[in-house]
Amino acid sequence: MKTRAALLTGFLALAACAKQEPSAPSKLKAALHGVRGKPPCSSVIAVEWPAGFPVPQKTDHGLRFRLFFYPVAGNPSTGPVVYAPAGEALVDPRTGVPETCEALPGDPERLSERRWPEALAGLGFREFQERQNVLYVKTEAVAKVYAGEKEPVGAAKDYVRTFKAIAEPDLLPYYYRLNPAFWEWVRDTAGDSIPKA
Amino acid sequence: MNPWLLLSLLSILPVRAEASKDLHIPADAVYVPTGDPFEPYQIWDGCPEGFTPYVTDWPNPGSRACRDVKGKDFQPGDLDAHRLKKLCRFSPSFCEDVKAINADIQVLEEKYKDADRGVPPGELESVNARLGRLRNELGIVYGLLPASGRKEGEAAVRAGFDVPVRRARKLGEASVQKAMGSIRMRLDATDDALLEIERGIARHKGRPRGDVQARLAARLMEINKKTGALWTEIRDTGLNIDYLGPKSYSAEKPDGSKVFPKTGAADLTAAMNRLQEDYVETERRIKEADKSLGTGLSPPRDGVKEVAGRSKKNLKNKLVNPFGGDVIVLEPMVITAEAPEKDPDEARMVPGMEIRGNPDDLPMKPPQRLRIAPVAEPVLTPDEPVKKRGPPPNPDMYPLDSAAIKVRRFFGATETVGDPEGREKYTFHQRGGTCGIASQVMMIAERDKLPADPRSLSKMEDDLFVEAVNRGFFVGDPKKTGLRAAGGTPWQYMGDLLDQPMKKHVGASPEELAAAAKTGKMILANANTGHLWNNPEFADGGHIFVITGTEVDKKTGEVLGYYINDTGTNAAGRLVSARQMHEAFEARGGYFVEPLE
Repeated sequence: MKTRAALLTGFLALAACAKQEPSAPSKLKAALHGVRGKPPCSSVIAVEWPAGFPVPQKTDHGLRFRLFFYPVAGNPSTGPVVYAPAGEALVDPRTGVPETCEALPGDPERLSERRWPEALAGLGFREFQERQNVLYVKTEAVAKVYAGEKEPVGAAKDYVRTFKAIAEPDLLPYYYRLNPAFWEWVRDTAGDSIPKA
Repeated sequence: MNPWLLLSLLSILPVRAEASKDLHIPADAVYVPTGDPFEPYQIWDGCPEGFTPYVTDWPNPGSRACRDVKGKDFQPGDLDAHRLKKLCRFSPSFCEDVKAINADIQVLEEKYKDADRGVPPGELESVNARLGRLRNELGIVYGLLPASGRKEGEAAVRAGFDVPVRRARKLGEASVQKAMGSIRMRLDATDDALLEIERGIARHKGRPRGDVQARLAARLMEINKKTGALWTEIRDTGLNIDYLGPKSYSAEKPDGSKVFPKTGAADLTAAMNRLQEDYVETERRIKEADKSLGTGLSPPRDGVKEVAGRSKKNLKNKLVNPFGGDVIVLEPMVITAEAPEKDPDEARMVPGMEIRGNPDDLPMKPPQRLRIAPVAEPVLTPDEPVKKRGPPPNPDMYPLDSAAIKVRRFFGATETVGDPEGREKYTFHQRGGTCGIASQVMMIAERDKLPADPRSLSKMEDDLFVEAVNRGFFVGDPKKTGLRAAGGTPWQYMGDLLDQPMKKHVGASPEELAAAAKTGKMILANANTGHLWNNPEFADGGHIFVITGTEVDKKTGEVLGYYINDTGTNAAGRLVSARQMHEAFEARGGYFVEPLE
């Protein structure tokens, strides 16, 4: 019995050592992850659809983020099947409340069976999440510059490089359509941007 | 006391009790006929507008009924008119919509009065969809009623809305019955034709050769093709049962409770099941004959694909009216050796669900037709073969956590709450973006003690998918060809197909999830797919699954792990460590649904 107890204690100690605390998600990501449960998104956006990365937008009421939702079918055995965006929302980052949220008309075009850039292949989930967090943090930074709250100090260049390395390649035209003005601003500021839709 | 006298007294008692009931009816009450054999009359406190009371012998001598100035009695049909009139008084605009649908139903009743197979499903769906939309407006209509007399107003609105709902249901049931009669007749004819072939085979000791073999084989191919087409009709009729009025009728009453009126839909479903069973038997016989004749036929249900393979033009009539296509009559034996040519303008067939043609192009502009075809493969890769991939990553994000739970369980330090093992049998593979629907199928199967074989559960998923689309619980435009694969369940409707009292949690904490799961009930939960499957390819996606149990620390009561049934991966009773589950759950906004019964 003593041997069993010692084994158990040892095993539990080992398990505790193996715990790796993930880095905290960015504030922006935390604000956006509940969007689907808030009206009007709660009735038009499927809980299954992932959200794309948010794109800053200047409005009369201040800085907002525009994001789309797109279906990803499949499971770990078949791999993902990526569809074109099927819903879109404009969100206030301070409250996480969607100001507009709608399902997009038209057929959800089946785009590809690859979701992320090839360079990210082979990453574990944790590492991948870390990269995503970096992009969110940089999005927050570039949004402040775009809104005129901060002076540009290479933020746009840094942002666009990270964005192109992490965002879904087949969805780039859809990101551009979310706010062409922003992407053109990025092009003017950083000398680089994503391709026009 | 004389026992005979006592018996006589006792026999009088019920009569007296009945008489005493009548005493409570006010003197000015009137009897209004309804036309319903189970409730032949209603007792009102006065006649409706335009009618005056008079004394009559129906239902009892001395009862009061109503008649108009011309002396015409109040008829059951007048009751509906009265209900609509009353509705118009309270909500004129809603009344116009209800009246318009009612008038359209009347047109359908007249138009298809003598039709062999009743009203085409497309038209029934159209009516039902409009009723569904109106039903959704009920809440707004109630809200606009004046505060004084709101109760009376709500009752009037509901009663007025019920008029077309009842008529549509009746019409739908009659149509389905007619269609099933027609199918039954042709299935019987098919069986007779098969009998001829079976006798032919038996005469040649199970192995016909030469001309006889060719003749019988050609005949079998003909039967096989026609039987495949019959399967399409069986499926369509099955779908049509789903589109019957009760679906739009199973809505909230003004007091917030739900109503599920007893209708013939259950009987029709049972009759349809029997029809399907007979069909399966026919299919088996075809396969048997095929073995003897060596024709290498595919199963009859694949004949559906041949139907789908025709040009859109040829299909147009079938789309408008799948019941209105040519009646397939088995003709006397004809030998035709040539195989049917493949149409280059082949309609796209998506296994699992098929939507053909653009409904807007059709002359009658029916609503979209969702046609669910039998499938063997998942719908996710309809065009290309499934790519060979490397093994997916281990779904266990914290394997040491899971191992620790197992070790503790081995030492008796934990307790399993719920019935994860017993509930494993309900797991099956979802087809499309239907995790929300498939998960509810598992919960319904346990609640209603339904057979837990994957085939029945998949069929139920198909049925509930149609219901979800019909009731607006599944997002995506049904006109979109990829609706089933690319659509999904919005949070607001998660759990609504269960049709039972439930508590919906949004923004809930892991502690709340743990507390609910510790009750041992099946919990419908939503989590981040990337976390749950430990797979970056599915990062930030959402997935609905069922928590079937928990592993709880005996000393502290802490939930150490969750058991889940996951229709996305077909994982039954998978143990997920609390850390992984809570991260996945929180990353998705903390949504879960807890049934209260």
